[in-house]
Amino acid sequence: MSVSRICSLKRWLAAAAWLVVASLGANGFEGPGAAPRCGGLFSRSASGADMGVIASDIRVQPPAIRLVHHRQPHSILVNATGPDGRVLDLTGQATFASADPKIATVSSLGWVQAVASGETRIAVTAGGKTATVVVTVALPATTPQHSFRHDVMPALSKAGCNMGACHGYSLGKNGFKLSLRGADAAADFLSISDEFLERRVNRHQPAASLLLTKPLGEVPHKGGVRFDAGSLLHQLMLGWIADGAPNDPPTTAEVESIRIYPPSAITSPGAQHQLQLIARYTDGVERDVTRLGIFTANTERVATVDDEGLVITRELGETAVVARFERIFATTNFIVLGEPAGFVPEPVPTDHPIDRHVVEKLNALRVAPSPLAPDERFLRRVYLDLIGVQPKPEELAAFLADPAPDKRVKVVDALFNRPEFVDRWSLKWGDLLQNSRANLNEPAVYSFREWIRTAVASNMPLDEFARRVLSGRGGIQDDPTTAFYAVSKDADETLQRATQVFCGVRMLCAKCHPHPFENWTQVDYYGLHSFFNQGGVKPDPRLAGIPNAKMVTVNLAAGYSTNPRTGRPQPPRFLGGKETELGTGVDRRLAYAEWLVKPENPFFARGMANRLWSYFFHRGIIDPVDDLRTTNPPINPALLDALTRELVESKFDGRRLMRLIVTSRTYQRDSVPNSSNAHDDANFSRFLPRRVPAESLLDSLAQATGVPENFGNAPPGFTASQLPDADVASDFLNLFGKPQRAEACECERDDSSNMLQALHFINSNTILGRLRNPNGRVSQLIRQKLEDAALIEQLYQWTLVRAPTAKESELATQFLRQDPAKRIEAAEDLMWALLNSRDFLLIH
Amino acid sequence: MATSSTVRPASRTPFTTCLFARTMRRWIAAAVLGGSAVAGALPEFAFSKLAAAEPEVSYRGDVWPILKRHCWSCHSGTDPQGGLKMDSVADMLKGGDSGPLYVAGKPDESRLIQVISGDKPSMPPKSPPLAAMKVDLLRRWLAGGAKDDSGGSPLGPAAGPPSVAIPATYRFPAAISSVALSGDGKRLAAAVRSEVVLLEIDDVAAPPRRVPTDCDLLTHVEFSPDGAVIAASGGQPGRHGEVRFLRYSDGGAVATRRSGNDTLFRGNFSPDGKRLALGGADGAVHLIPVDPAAEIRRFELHTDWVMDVSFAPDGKTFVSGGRDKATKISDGETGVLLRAVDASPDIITAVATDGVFAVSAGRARTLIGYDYKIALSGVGVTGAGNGAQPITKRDQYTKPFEGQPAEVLDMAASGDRKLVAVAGMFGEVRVYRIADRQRVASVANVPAPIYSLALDQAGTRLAVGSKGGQVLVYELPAGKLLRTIVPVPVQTASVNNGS
Repeated sequence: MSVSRICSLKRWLAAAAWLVVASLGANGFEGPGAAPRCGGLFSRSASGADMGVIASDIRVQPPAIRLVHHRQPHSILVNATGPDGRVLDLTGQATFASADPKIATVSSLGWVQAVASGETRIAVTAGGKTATVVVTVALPATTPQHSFRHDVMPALSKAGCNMGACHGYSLGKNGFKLSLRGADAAADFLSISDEFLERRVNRHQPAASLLLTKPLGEVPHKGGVRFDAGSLLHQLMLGWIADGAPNDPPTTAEVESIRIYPPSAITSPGAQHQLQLIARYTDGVERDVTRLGIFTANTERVATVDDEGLVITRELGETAVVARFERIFATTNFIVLGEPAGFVPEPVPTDHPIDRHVVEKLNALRVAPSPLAPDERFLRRVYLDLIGVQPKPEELAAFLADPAPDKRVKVVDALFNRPEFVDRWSLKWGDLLQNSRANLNEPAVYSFREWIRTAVASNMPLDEFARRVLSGRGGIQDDPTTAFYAVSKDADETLQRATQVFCGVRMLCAKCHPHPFENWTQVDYYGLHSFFNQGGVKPDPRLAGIPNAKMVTVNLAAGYSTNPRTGRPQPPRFLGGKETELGTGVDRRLAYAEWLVKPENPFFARGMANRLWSYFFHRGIIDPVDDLRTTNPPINPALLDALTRELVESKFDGRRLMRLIVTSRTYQRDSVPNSSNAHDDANFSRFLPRRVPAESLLDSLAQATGVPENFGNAPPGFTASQLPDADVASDFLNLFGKPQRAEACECERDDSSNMLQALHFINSNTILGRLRNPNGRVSQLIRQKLEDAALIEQLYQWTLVRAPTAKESELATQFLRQDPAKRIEAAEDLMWALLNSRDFLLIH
Repeated sequence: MATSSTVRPASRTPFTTCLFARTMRRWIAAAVLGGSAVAGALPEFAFSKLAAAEPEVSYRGDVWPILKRHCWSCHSGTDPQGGLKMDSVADMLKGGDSGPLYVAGKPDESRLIQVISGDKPSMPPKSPPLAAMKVDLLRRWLAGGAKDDSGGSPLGPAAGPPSVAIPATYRFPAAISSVALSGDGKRLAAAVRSEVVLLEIDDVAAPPRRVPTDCDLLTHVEFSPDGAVIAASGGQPGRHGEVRFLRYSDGGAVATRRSGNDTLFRGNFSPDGKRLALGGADGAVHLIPVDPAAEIRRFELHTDWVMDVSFAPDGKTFVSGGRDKATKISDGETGVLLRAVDASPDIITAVATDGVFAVSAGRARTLIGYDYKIALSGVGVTGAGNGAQPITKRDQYTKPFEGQPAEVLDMAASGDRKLVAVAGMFGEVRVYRIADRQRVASVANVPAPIYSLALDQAGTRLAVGSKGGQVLVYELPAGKLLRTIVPVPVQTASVNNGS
């Protein structure tokens, strides 16, 4: 098709757009990617990109383009800022003109194509404003051959050929196997170029190649049609075969990094934003790979992204859009804002790093935070979060009566010294380190428990804690932390637990194939494995006859682990870092521990800060907390950076970071939403109510009713928070999601609510038996012969940690007086009702 | 869900205009950037759609593209789903297990519309339902009488890959996928992608004779035992297998037979020269008679591609090996499996036998002999079927040769079945005596990878076909290079880093 023909077609289209749609629609005409767009979305012009509302000049990205390849065009993004500071994408409306089409041409979508070496300019016009892109073309003397690694591999990924469900499956599909998501170009080259007498490529008649006829649907293909004739993917593969299906020289540059534009955007619902993806190669060349990128939106409710990197925003909220090119990921953050009437930014606090970063983000989001929670709610919340039990009525009364302006800080400091603080946080560490009689014998469990309790009580710095846990050797009598290693059945399990707990990184995927959402490969996995493969667990010969007495041994002579893909020993490799030669004769676990706790380690402090944060807000700044990866970016990077810095600067003082968190306004906010923050469940603009964790709920229940719980398989008098493990007979704890300590994952604790839990509270003996217990709270209060009002207040304070409202008081009084002969039953029923209320079940 | 009434343009909201316009712009942009004839084809098609105000729905232009994208990958080939092929209008009218696919003029009574309509359409399975617009289009095509404007030829295969074209001069070196020697070692046949090249080895002056075929890929050439006929087999990957029996004298076709839904792989003439046994992608050994009137028989012996078949000298048994990693011995007449003698850790690419030992080799870098007598002891040659229970264990009859340096891609037996030559992803050909498994000759410095090998009757001449496009002929056991032949003309300036 000639250029003039295209131009006339384009003009004609513009003039007769209605007719086009009429005719196309009536004929079921469908271009690539057209179908999903018909779902009732707003067009760009409906999203506020009307020409009249541009507040700024238009911006072009990039302002200058350098083209060094005949077949690698570069796109131009055109953006502007609206009067409210939001980003508008005008790329689709802009017109582009090349000053010298003999040097470079530009398409109607803003793709600049090199023609000949030289320099020219592209004039970009949108919304009545213009901008210029300087284009430098420096082409090699001859058109380069197509490259397997630069052209075919990205096309295979983009077309989905090497997906896990298709030829990337470990056995391939229908005899054609590719490496999963393109991890191994050398193997894929042989499969495509040589295998089975070159059946897949025909260099002498390229269009007849099976590599094309299958995905084009010219030959029956179980994977269906993967691309259309004439599409970019078709051109790349066809071009490569027509060049003789060459292999790449060994010096071929590799992708070093990718960048995505815009790096973040604040926008409105129904807007469209074209992304631009730039790859940088090891030889310094940059290439626009937008058309070869693989895009996904993490939260599709907020925005979707299509095959060509066009983001369409939907509902209010925030989502990361992830782009992948080859094995590398990049993310961009999209914030979709409504138009809250009369939004007034909150003054940014300067006295508290947490509040500062949270409020800064909320202002950008046009979300007003909820006010601080009243004293009663704060007190109950901070008690449950820090020490895992509710305040007693006298504690509540003392707190309410305290006139000191800093009484909230004072109560926090007092809580750190409570024995229950040790109970609660030792329990957490016991969960994470999987201290359990399911894996260890009883002496080992109690001795490790005691070690953890001492560490928590003495506020052992977290780096020291991690180092000690990772260095255990011998039996429990030598070092109680050997329990950590004794839990694992092999080095695989140890490395997965160690990275998940202390780095917040999940490595299991990379054991068998490249990680699907991060650039971890088997090299990384077995690099870690080599740190841990000297360790072993044997029966302790000194404790012969004692069942399951284990001893952690270290075989210093052990060589490196074998990477099954290469069949060669893999030297130890720090996560995301360099390979290191440690050889034999050295306990490599210690080298790992040293690396782990260095302040500059990108995982440890950050992972710990994020994890501690999540215990108070029920979600991490990165969430899930033990799944740190590029494709799971933090919701508030500045906040996480600040917390990380605090933790490092305080020499890993965990208690200090907790104090910083619970004394922030952010932690103390009410859980009642306002008109602007009801939709926000990620940016900490209000406190998100959550169910009280199993152990705290049971301990609070025991305290409220005055009847302690007796656990089978645990010493008498232990509270739920003090239990050595989950190997105790308690339906209540199981039902409310106490983790079994079978996994090193935070997700093992289940804080959700369900019908069985509700029925348990309504009917079970755990509740009813406590209410009727002659030594229980109700009987005690009745025996005190309190007035109705005092009795009601006591019941409210023991259960809901607050006084009843006037209305509640009135209703309760009526209820108590219905039948004076059954006053005790009425009091039991009232307490039953209170325990069954959401106020008791939730931290709010 | 769509109804029979057309969605009128007036009911469309303005945003659709923008989106469609944007799509058009992308297409045009693609054409500008691509600049090639293929890329230009799409807007051309679009343009033709724009011109007519109320055009008739076209099978070729409107219906077939929808069917191809959503239906045809399952409803095609030799084993179509539900017995329904959708290659052509005739195929659809013929229908499948559930009867004809549609009734022209009556969309609502047509199965085609029923299965793709409704709240949860049953077709296409495990995929999103067809867009309402597409269903409407198919409906209107049926309502308008389901006219066939394809010109009668099925659009499936017709719109498929281009037909075979053989260049006069190749731009790139053309891999030698198979070579064959006549019994006397004087004549050579080589398979080069789609053509067979015949030549007299000792007559250096005589030009190679090029015999074209319409197979995209030839995988096997072989002289008949009397040397008069050459079998050249292969086919179209993903479509069908084909064998051509050619006269050596003039290259003329004796017979052309098709079998299977993919290329055929390698195999062997029966000792009487009447039949050719070839591996198939359907897991079967295809027994193809030279006599065009005789029936082709298929024996389903493997669970994946059969890569090679070899007859015992007496023709009573044959050995097969394949991508299912199995090596099997079967009855030469009935095709009944006698014994699965081995399961290799990797694909078997080549087999041979002298009637005393079966030999197989492949990607596992092993070359293993199997003693027939011991392997088959206790196995009745008739009647036992696939349930044959041998009385011996694998290690009683397994006789490994030395290990191979890399993957084995081909193995050739001499006509007298005393020697086998082995080669593959390494630059060496090794020749072994089957009887005692000793290496009797080695030919070094052969350009790897080696795709194909042939020996003459007495094992005194060896032909080697390389990926790089050369046929090399050696004298054995000395390993002296007699001739290097590039059987087809190749542009000298071409660059190929591929090897």
